Amino acid sequence: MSTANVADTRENPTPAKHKAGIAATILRAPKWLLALILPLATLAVWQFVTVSGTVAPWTLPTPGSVVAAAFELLEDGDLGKHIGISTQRVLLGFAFGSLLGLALGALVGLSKLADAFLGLSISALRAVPSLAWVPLLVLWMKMGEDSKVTLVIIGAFFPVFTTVALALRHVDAHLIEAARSFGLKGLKLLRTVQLPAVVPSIFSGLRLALAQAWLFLVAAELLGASMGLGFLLTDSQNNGRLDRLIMTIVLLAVFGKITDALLSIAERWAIKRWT
Amino acid sequence: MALTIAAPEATSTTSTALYVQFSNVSRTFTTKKESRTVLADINLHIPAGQVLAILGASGCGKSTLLRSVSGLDHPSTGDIRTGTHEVNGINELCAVSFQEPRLLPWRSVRENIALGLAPGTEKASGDALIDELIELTGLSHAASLRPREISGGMAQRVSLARALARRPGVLLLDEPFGALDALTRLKMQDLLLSIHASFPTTVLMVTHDVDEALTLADRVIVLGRSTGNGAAGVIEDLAISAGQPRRHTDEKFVADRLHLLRLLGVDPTNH
Repeated sequence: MSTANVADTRENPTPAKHKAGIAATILRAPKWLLALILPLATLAVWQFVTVSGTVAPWTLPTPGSVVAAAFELLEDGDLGKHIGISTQRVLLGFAFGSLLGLALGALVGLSKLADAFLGLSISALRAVPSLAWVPLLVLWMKMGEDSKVTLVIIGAFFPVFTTVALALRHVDAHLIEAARSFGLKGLKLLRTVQLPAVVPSIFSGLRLALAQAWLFLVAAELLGASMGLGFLLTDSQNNGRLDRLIMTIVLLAVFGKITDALLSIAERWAIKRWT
Repeated sequence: MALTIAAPEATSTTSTALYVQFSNVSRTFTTKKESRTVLADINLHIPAGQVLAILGASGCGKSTLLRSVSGLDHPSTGDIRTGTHEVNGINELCAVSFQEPRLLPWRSVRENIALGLAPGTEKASGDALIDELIELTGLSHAASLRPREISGGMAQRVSLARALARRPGVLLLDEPFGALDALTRLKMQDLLLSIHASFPTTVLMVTHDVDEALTLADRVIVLGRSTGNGAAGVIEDLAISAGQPRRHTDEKFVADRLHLLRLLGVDPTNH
């Protein structure tokens, strides 16, 4: 749309100004307000169709009953437990997975030898769908925490690994050469030039990894858990608790968004600081 | 051959200028398909403290010659010495300033200059040297700025200061002012002359600009095809005896200029 407007402006300025005017007027409103319009509208429609009886309550519970379900679980202390254990698994898996991704990504990105040895194997492992790991991990590590955290590690590893390896391979060769001409090499060169140059990429890799971590968490908990948000999904499905099911989905959206927003703040800082 | 050896100055930052010796240097680039000899039989002695300008058509191997002194490139045969040091790998006795400033975007001007400090430099003397260089290159007001916040000319001055922070025995300038506008370029030439007065190092400078070469250098060499196989050698070695400042209207300057332009294949009647 913007390109069309640019072209219009050149040939016929007046109508273009008018067309851009509507979008521009809307865009003058605060961004958060615009972003809230769709969720609020959805909520309103949801409220309307459920309360009016257009949709039966056993197909879709009212927003009020979903909130009530949340409070009910919260009072039992169950919800806190589920959220706590899921968050712990995500954070642990994310931390180990991204550290591993950073280390191996740096190795493969910097060393052609490591790339030759590892590149194919890692990209083949990456092609395995997340759910395919679950039965194996459950057999090897039983139903405990290890199997869940391991799956999250697998999920968080690949985005960081790929972005870091790729970014390191594309660090401005001129900068590296200039630093080399001053005698920098090996770890010193890595610390002074290569790592700082890929800091923004590391953060975008981390954001992808965090999203994957939540994804893999739910996969792990759906298939073999006695606690956690994923377990709450299957449990609610088995008991026909649609209110709890929808509540859990909303919670996953909220937590996913919050953790991503925190990382995006860090990312913006990194881009400002390191470019 | 007249040599201008800069008088050693008694400043704290005096670097020991080193002579550069090329002995039978040639460079052949080999790919799977072909091998191409770019430089052949280069024999040159550049006395300590001399400012040497290297002229030649694009792609004739000027930069390759310079890079082989810094150790960023390696001659296929022959050897290069800076002082008694035989170049083998990165030569930490010299410092390079490239056509692009090549500054680290996440570091301030001051931190970029500090990158050039020789390993093991003490904090206090390093800081003093950087202060002096910032002053000398007119960057006092920009010391804490990032590269993206300064102009191209300033960035090039930072690059020069970074190279000098090494206190190089040989300063290698690879078309250092090539990307600058004409006015900035003239100012940079003046700056280089004044820097050379306080940092009397040997300078090897690749340039496309005949006037720049004649203005700055004690000696100008021209690289060009001297052999049948297309490899470049030294086809002219011209001593410039005039002192500084040099007037572009001087008879000798004009004559040298016409001579060099002709050698480079330019019809001087238009220029």
